[in-house]
Amino acid sequence: MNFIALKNLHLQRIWWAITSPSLLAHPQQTQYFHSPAHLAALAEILRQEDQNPALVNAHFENLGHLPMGRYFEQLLFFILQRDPHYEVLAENRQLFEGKITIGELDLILRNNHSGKLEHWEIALKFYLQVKNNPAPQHMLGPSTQDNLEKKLLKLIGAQLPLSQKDEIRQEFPQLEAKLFVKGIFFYPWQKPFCISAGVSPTHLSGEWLKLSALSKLQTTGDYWRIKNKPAWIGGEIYTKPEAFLSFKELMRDCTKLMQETERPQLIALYTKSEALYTEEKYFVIVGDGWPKSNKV
Amino acid sequence: MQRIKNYLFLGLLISTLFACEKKDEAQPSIQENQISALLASPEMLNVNNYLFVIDSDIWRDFMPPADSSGRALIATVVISERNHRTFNNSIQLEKVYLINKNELWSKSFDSTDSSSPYQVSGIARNGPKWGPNIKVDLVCEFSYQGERYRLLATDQEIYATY
Repeated sequence: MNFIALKNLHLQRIWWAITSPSLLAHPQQTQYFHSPAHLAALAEILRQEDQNPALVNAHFENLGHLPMGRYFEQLLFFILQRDPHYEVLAENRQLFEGKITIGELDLILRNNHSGKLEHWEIALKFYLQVKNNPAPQHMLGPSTQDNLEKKLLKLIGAQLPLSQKDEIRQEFPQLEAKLFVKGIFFYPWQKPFCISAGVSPTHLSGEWLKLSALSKLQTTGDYWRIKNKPAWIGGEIYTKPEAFLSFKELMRDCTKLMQETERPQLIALYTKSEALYTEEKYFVIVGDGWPKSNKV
Repeated sequence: MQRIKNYLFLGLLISTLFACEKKDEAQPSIQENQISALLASPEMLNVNNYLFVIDSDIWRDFMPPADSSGRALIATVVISERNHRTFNNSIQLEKVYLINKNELWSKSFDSTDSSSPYQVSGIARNGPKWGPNIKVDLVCEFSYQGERYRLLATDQEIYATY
């Protein structure tokens, strides 16, 4: 049941967003699904949307271009509006002190299964481990400006407590703060690594390597794609081999892109099962000077 | 004499009517019998040390473009081996029954999914427009190794999207 053959790209990404494992092992990490039947119900709801994709396409076209993190939030909002187990009460609820915005709660909803009101902080993160050390500051964002330690401090230290503010408590009493954190953590290719403190042991993982080592992946497989944001959000399914780069084309395009932009590239290897190509492995290719000099 | 005959006839008529009423009380309808039999189904089954449990999700869609009376109910049902033991896709989901007090709705599954080694799920669409926000009982009928079984999930809420 963890795989459904959806045709629409937004819906494929929604399925990935709600079924991919959580990145964190924090006690406030939320579990989207209450039961196997809830999962089956969501699969049915997405299949119905997939039969008439005009609605989902129009919804996201109307939102215009969004940064990947905002788009990820919108994917989640879209399905939560259709999920009978949740009732969305507020999206991106801003908090003010006088005329100054002091913060924003990503999502406030009613969990119809438990009957409780919940505040969700939503994050989509991609970090690369640069040192075989469990301290979270060694998990760097591709830009190297961000790391897991900073993100944890922000989420747990600043974002989650927002639901305790008087203004929110008056409107939504007994709000339970939860984390919805998805993404992929990348470990150095064919090198020892360790799981950082606070990270779920079942999180989604990939490997990272330098551009000069990319040729060594040649024997890994035949169906490759360079993923441009927001395609870093996983779950894409293809039906035709023309959608893919051969390894030779991947080497060529990846090298060209990195010379032009100097930005790390996320690439995915696909596997063919019956008539469908699905994501099997994820890699991030970084410049040979990374993490010292980098752009995003 | 005629008056006595009339009284006798009236008495006979009344006793017959009461007898009929008694007969009705004593013998429930076929549907009542069926509901009672369904509600007697177990909530967990042990078949050759495989522990089968049931889980369901029932909802109705009121979101536009659905009209104000909402769309028909949909039910998903999952039968799992409680300890995640593989049962090699040998379960066939047959039929779902929904019981709302004295009303009974049943349907063969529209689709089933047995891709999990320890779980099988089914969907039944176009159900009754009951609820939402009421609780019903659900019974799933399935076959396993040539035998038919039923599992009961009580007090299942009919959820809604608006």
